[in-house]
Amino acid sequence: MKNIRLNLAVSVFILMLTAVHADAKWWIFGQSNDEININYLYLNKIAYDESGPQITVYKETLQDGLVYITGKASTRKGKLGGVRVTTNNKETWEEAKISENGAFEYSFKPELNKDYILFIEIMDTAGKTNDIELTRKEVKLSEQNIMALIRETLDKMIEAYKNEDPARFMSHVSEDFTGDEANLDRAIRRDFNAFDNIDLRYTLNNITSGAKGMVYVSINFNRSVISTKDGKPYTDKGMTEFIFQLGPARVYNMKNPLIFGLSDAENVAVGTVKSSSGELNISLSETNAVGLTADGTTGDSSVLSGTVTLTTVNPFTNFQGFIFADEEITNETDGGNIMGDFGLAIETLAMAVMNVRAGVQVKKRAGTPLSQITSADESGYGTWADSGQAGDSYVFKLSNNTYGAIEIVSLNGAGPRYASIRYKYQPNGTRNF
Amino acid sequence: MRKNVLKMKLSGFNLLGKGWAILLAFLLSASTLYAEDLHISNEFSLTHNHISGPGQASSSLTEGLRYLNVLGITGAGQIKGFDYNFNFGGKATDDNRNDVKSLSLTNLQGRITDKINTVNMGDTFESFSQYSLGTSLKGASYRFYDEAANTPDITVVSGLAYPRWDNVWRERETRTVERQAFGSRIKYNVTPDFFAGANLVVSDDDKRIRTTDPLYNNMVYSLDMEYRPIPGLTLRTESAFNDTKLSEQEGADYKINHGYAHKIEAIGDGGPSRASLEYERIAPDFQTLLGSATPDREKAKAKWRYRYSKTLSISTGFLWFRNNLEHQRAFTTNNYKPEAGITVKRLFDRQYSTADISYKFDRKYGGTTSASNHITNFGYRDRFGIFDSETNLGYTIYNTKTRVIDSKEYTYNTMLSSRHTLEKCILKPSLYLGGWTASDELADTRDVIYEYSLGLGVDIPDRKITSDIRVGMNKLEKEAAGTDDSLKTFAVMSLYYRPDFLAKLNQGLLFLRASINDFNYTTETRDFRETSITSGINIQF
Repeated sequence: MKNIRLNLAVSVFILMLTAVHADAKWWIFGQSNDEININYLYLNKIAYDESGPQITVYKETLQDGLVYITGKASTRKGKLGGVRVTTNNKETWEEAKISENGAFEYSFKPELNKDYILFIEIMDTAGKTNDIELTRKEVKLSEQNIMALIRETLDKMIEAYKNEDPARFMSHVSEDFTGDEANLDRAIRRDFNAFDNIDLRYTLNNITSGAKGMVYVSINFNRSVISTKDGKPYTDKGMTEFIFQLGPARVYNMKNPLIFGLSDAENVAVGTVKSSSGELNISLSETNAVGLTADGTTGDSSVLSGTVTLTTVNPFTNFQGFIFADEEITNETDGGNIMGDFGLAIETLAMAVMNVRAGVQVKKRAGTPLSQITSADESGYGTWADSGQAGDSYVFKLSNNTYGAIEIVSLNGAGPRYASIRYKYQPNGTRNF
Repeated sequence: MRKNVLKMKLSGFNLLGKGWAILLAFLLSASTLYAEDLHISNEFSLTHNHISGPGQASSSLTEGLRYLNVLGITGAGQIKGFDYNFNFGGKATDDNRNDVKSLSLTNLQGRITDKINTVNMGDTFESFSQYSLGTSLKGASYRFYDEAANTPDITVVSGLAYPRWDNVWRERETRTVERQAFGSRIKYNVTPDFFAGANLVVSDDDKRIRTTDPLYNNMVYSLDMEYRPIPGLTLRTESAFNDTKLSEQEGADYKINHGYAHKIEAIGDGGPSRASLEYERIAPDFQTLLGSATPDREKAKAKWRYRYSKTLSISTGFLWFRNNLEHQRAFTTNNYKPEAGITVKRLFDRQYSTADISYKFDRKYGGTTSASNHITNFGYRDRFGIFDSETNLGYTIYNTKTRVIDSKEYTYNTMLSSRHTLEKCILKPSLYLGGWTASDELADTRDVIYEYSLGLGVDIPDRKITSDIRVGMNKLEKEAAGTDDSLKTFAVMSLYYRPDFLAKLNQGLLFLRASINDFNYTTETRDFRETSITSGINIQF
């Protein structure tokens, strides 16, 4: 299966390369018949159409203080005649440097407090031009340093997050986001479903500009929310990290504990910032239950679950138990010395005696189906619980502070008696199933 | 009494025994003397918070008078053909929620280059490739690259992978596991359209804080390439491998793991269309501690954006990924996330109208989990007479089998805003109305949130004043037994003033922010009220 997938991927790639030679513009659906094509166009290495109608460039990030426009154009017939650029709304035009293969470059030195309105005109030798209006771009120079730029971007992200505006929030996320844009987009929507009255503040610990236009950011955050699941307020604080890509600053990478998208922390965050303080952070379970966990992670969200049958030959000397973590049935011979996390001794079809191992605590949830137990109880556990019957559930707090739960689905049999058990186990230490 | 407390707090500034503070002072003096281009920015603010009510523990504010000072200094210049720049900064606060440290160094970096050789010291962020190195170190790096001669581009880096400088001093409040790192990269531009890079990154953990801290000794070696076979098409790939030794907790033997990560990406960007394809496969045992990768993942991704006309654009996307690549888990979990959206401008021939509609599907299944979520959104922006309006409607179905989640969510909000000039004032009134309804089919309950707020912005450009005030409420009504309704009423205001006397410094800003939040719950012991006033000054020169 693995080889099939690999072969498939390689085949698709080879096919893609073949397609490249067959028609160089396979991705320009229906538009490759233009007389003049702009093959690519960048402003300071940012794709021209990615930056929207207005772009602010930052003095600190400019190479030699210049704004560079680079691109490449081609014609279906004939040759390129020239490329001209205006920075003052078509009042004056300047020639761009153009090479034989259609690549062109133009640069200008922007001044503070001045607006530049750019258009790019590409002409072939027959006098035909591109659609100039499509190249309109307003450029502004800011003296703001990187720290101010990052603060402004984080402020906007937090504002959009607090206002539960996913589109505005995602406009600050890079297409190359390591946790995948689609995951983050879904995750913040789930956050908005789970939280009300989000309040979030931060202070910067460190900002480091790096190669390839990347900026590393470490922050301390301080947060409060109201859970829409239980209506209760929650608050936490901690330290986390981001990587931003510059152009307009867009987030490229986020680590646990997350301040955005924590409902899918497993997929959104890449890496974890280890806190020295041991603070617990807000986390969200699959059912939107809010918890406080180390690093705000829910660990592997794959809660173990399934159905097993436990047999009782003799309710005192020969019955069976279960170990949640190993999903393993144990053979029990002594109710006072249970080998599994619990042992279930069926005395009658209306009475199954619950025995637990030393160190395990249990709480009975009479008549509650397992599907309705979406999080383990916070308190109320004991070292024993009343016997149960079909339809009853039990929640367990294990000695390693993880939680499990079972439902007795049915009790049957006359000689050996059988209990059909449905179980769930959360291995990550949270109470969320 | 209050005066004494303030005096004690401010004495935190006098902790010059800290090594970094001396260094900071030294660098500040040196930079002032020699830097040709020196910028200093400083923001000082005082905040007074008052929290009352039985549920005040739920507030995220710290009671009392607190200060925060953030200092940043950058400089640049030239010495004998070398360009140099540096930056350093510090933070001081007595609010534990801002920082556990009252005084901390935030930045310390120096860089010098002759455009062929570059040395960086202090905060060092060399971004090699996704799988190998993409985080900041406290250390140093050296880079050799002669662009004119097209020499190999060589970088070596060494340092400690700490998020903050206080970690380096290993003080009680901020110490964490020590992670030493070393990396090297060699990149060569084979042709103007093709480069290849080889990376080696080694990290070694030491000095546990808790007995349960895992320690890694990790080596990642990777090869990355980028090729532009034709204009507008970019192909990228990276393959990485790791040798990892892991001691899960104190006393545990080191486990040895090896893994791999492969990625290939094609981006087509031309004319009105931009398309990208990506495939990634990362083994369960692949570990990169300084790069970015999610172990145990096979992923395929496609995106296509197409601008059909000046007024119509379409975007589509598809993401699939799964785990359990080596059948090491009890079951495999698959995720499918397709989406499509259309944006139409000048709808109904209206100059300022923009409508967008999108549909996103979120499918996850594996083992006993099976979730299908459908997310639909509609947004419309327009101008009606003197009002700008923005309206968003959303409908989402969440369904996780069997009987885990079965709910429908409706969101609806609209914002009306306007702008009027009244002599020297610009008035910007706005109204926000929002709502959210969630029906839980399993519990047979319906939860509702209503929110509204009224705002007024007042700008006086001649006086360089901008201000804003907003009042409103947010009400959560829940039906399920044992849960709380909540009502928050709030008022926030902000005032920013750039006085002329501060303009002499280049840029100066005085600001005042205030807020009152009043929270009421069904369980009255959770009720609290918080009042916060912050005033500050930001100067840049």
